[in-house]
Amino acid sequence: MTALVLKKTIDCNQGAVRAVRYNVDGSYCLTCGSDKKIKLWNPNNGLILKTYGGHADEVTDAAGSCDSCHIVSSSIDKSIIYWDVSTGQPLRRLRVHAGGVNCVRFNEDSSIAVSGSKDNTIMCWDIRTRKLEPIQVMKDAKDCITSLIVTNYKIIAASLDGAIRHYDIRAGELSCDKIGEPVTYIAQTSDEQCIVAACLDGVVRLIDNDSGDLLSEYTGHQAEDYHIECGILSNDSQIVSGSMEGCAVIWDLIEGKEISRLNIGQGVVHSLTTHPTGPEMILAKRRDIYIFGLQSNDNDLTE
Amino acid sequence: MEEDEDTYCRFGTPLEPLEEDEVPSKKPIAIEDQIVTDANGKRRFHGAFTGGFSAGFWNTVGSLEGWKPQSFKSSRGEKAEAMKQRAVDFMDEEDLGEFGIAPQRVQTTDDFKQQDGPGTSADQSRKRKLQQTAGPIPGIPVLHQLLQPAKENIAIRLLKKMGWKEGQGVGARQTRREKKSAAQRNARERYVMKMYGCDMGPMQQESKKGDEEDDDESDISDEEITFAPDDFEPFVCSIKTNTFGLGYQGLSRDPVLKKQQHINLFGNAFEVMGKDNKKLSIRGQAFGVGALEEEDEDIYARDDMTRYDFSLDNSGKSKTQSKEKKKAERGVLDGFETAQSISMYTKKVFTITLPANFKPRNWAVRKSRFEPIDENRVASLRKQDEHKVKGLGRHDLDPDQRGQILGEASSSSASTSKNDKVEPEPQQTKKKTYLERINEKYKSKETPSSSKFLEKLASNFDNFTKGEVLNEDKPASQLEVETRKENEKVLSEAKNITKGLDKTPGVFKPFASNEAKQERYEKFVEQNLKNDEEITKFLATIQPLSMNDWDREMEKKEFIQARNIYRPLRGIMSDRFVSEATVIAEREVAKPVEKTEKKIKIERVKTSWKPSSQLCKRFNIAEPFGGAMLDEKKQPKKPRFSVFDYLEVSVNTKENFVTPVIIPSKMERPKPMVSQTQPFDIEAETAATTGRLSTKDLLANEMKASKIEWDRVTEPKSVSSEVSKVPTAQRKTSDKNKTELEKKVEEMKSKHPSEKKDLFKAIFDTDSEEDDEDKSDAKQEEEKKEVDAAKIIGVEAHKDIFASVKQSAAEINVLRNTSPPRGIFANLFTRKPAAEPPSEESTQVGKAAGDAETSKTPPKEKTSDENESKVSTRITFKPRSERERSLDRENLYGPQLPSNLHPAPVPSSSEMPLEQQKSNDGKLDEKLLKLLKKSKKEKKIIEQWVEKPSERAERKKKKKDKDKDKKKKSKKHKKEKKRHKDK
Repeated sequence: MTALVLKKTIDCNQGAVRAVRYNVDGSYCLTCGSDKKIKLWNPNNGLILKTYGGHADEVTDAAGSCDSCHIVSSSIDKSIIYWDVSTGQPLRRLRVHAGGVNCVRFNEDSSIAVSGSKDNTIMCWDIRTRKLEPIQVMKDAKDCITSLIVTNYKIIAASLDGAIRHYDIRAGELSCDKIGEPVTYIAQTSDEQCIVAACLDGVVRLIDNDSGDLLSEYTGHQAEDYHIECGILSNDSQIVSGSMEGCAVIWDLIEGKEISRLNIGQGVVHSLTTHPTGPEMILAKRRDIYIFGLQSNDNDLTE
Repeated sequence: MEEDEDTYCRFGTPLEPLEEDEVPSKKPIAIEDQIVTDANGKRRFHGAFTGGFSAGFWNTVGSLEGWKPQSFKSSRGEKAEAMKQRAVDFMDEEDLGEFGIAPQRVQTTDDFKQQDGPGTSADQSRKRKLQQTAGPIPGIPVLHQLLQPAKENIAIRLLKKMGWKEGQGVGARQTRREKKSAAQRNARERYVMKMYGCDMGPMQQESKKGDEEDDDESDISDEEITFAPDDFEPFVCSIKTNTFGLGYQGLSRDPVLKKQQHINLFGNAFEVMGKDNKKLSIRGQAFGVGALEEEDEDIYARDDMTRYDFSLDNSGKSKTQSKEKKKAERGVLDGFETAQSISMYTKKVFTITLPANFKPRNWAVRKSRFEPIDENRVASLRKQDEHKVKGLGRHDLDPDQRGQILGEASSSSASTSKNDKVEPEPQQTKKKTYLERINEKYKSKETPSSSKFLEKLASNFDNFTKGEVLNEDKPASQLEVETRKENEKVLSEAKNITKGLDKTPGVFKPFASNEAKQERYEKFVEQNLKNDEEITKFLATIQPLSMNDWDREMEKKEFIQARNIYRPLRGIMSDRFVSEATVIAEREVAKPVEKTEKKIKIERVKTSWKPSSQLCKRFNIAEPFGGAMLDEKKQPKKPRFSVFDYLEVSVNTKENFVTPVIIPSKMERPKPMVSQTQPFDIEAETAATTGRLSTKDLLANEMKASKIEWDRVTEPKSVSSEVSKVPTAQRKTSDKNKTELEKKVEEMKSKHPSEKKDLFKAIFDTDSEEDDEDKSDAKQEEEKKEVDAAKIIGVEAHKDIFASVKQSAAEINVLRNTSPPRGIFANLFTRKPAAEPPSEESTQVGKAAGDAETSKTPPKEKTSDENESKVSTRITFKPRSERERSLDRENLYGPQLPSNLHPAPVPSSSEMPLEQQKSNDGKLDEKLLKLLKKSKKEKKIIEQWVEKPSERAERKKKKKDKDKDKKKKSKKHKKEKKRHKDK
């Protein structure tokens, strides 16, 4: 596989970019800014499509629905907002969390939004009804929920208490994998077999979903105290993580060796999102986002 | 906040604070909803389309009592006073208010009133008078009308006093020309004001007239004669009282009635038109402009050109023309004039006298820092900064000198020699400073020690004022000798005083009063002993022999305490502060350690979790266990979320704490179940595969399984509630009476599976043993089967006992009580001595049988009434002596056992050997399983079987109910068949 090259840099112009997320098919991306706004971009040409304002504090996370008609976003203001993409109006504002909301995800058919908060709870919201109360609250975590994955039958939550909790709806059981290190972000392989967990001790860990075994560790980047995200590149053969030193580090998933580093200058690369299908990803650093992809074909031709 | 409120004034009324939930209504109150209220807060307008007027007191007349007629007053005793009724008397307070009919307010009196024109004030005063007339003839007195007092403004009166006459202006007298130009200027001003400013009021006409007069006399040019200036009232804007446009007067009736030629809508502007008298068109918005017509371009501002000057100066035309000609000749630009006197412009130079030592420097030339400075400058600089190098004389004393000054002991030779070295300086200068002067003053007194220092200080001080020469007659050397002597004297004194100080410098002396004690203490501190014995030993060496033991002990305690309290400061501080170097070193050491020990082992803990039904629905997943999972405790719905809810989240409260249960995947269901019950097998297997499930799940599974089984086996028969209770009963027993095995399991919970071998052995051993026995002892097998059957029957019979955990209790009772049965039990047991466990080789079996029998006892009273009734009746008909005997027995052994046994306390397992207990457990399981099996097969027979064993126990004596026995046998047969099948 050829190396990823920087294709575009966008100054989001919304303060620090707290998170960058692809939409469901990777044709658009969302950036959450510290200026309380969410921006929808076309990463291919770097055009801004819409700005969503309505949060009262920094936006921490956002997710697009499966039909790309809605966005759900979380903020430090303890609220979750369900947006209409085309009008830019907030459809629902859910304020039950007792602390800032760290992460939010849709389920597969975007009927449920799952949010994880600093109040140690996970809440499941039936987003299509007008109900303003969560349909379920999971209070098992002992510390902030940092990241969530929602698959078609599981809710996986990472917490700062150093555990990853799998809420298996099908089996009706909760399996708690205690790692011991605070987990800042989790991503799942596309075959749903493994989880990649970015831990606060500067190690990215690959964990088997079924057995809860630690399969591999990836080191080389610097995390310090930052909430650094990791990801799996689409072909499930590489793992990528942001770093404090202004770069993203890519490892081979199986061998655990560092393949390359994408340097983008000073600053902490804390957020990243990988394209759901193609070999692309977006890094977020300070107020900019950097879109990486393969060298385009016409460029090759010209060369 | 309070302070703020104190210091600031408030203006206005604060808005009412919005309530938290209240959404501020955006709509203002509609006009129709607004209510005008008066001072009393009552509605002011009401009725008749709210045009009605509230009158009187609370919409009544006048007062609280309503309208009250004037009280009659008899004029008999005294003449009634003339009644004066004024309109005001009938008015309400509101009417007298600011907006009422007769407002009461501060008004300017007539004296100070502006004269608004003819008769405004006069009319009013006349009105007043009309009101005030109280004479016999109504109306104004004639004389009043004829003779009106000349009333003048106070301003006018003042002016008149100052020599002003009416019709004359105020100011210096003017020549005719001046006056004329002034008049013109006024006129122009007034016009401009009129056109672009405000209405000017009535004085326009007057001034106009004046202008005309002036024009008549224009030719006369006498510079000598001076005139008083025109009486020109400074323009005062009259207050606008109408809503017309500026300058528009509107139509007044007078001109129309007076048949004037034109209607003067615009005052002066129409004058010109009036003169040519041809146009009579009425213009203005007041006429002829329909709603659909366009308005005139300009209605109000009608300008005419006559008002404008077309030249700068009309009168002095010839003069200016000649001037302009001159200008043109001289080449002066239009609008400029040649100056009369030519004065050259000279720039004023501001000079300052430079100080003598000023050296000019070209600042533009930048001097590098690195360039060498010229030597003179270096020298001067050095001199200047001398004190910086040397310090202020404080630091160029060596320790000896300092010590001397402070009165410390020092080798005098060294100090003196050094002093000698330093001394020459003051000698050279031979100038005594101000400080020296002070020194000398005090030298005679008692501060000689410091004088030296001061002297020396002063000598180094160039910055201090020098110059005064003092004590010149006295040679410096002599002075020195004196001071030195004194110094020594003082030093010796000081030495005496501070004798002991240097021993423990800076340490508090706790026993200063007792010198010997203090000394001892110091020694003690020096030794720094920790051990108690050592301390006593050491102290014994120091302490005088005269001290008794108690004192010694006390002193020791005191010393230790004192040492703890008065620890030297550095000791205390060393606890708190660490040098940076050590911190860094520690960190450096710590880092690699951290890296090496990064071995992370992930633990997985599985617990049950119930997803809400709604969540399952949305995820398109069937609810696990058909939604039959135990729901987490529903907390009462709280209307509001409080932060405290979440505070508790991380705490393991009773409500949300779920004990994590590990069940190793290796663990399987007990074997007998698998081997004996075929249909159950599948379920058991499934259960085994999901070995990681929690106990709850297992139970749930089991329940389900058993249910299914029931349905399958006993299709038509209704499942009795009793039977279905069994699993729950089992759970209960296992929960309540913790056997050794259970305890072991609990112990093992936290351990690794590999360590649990013992446990598993303990679980499975009994069963396997039994199996072995079965195989090896073919002979015994039949017997055993019988026994088994008996057991089963026994168990079967007492399902209800099971349900309330009586089984184990009964069992244990028997085990505990080894003495022969007495009381009512005596009857029972004496009847069936054969049923007693006979053999030692199969203790388990025998015991089990015993169990079965003992456990039968309570139901015997309950269920098989027809059997027991005899017994009971027999008891009732006992002779008295017997009854007494029984009573005695009661006294001996306490009251009878209740008919249905209550769950016994936790069995004393210590009395039972461990293996026995284990086997016991195994037996229990087996029994239960068998019971299940049996009950599945034939439901109806159960009842009969219940009675059978009791029968069987007594059979050897009574031999009754043979038909029942037959049935039993057939049953046994069946069971045997079944076994064969299984095998």
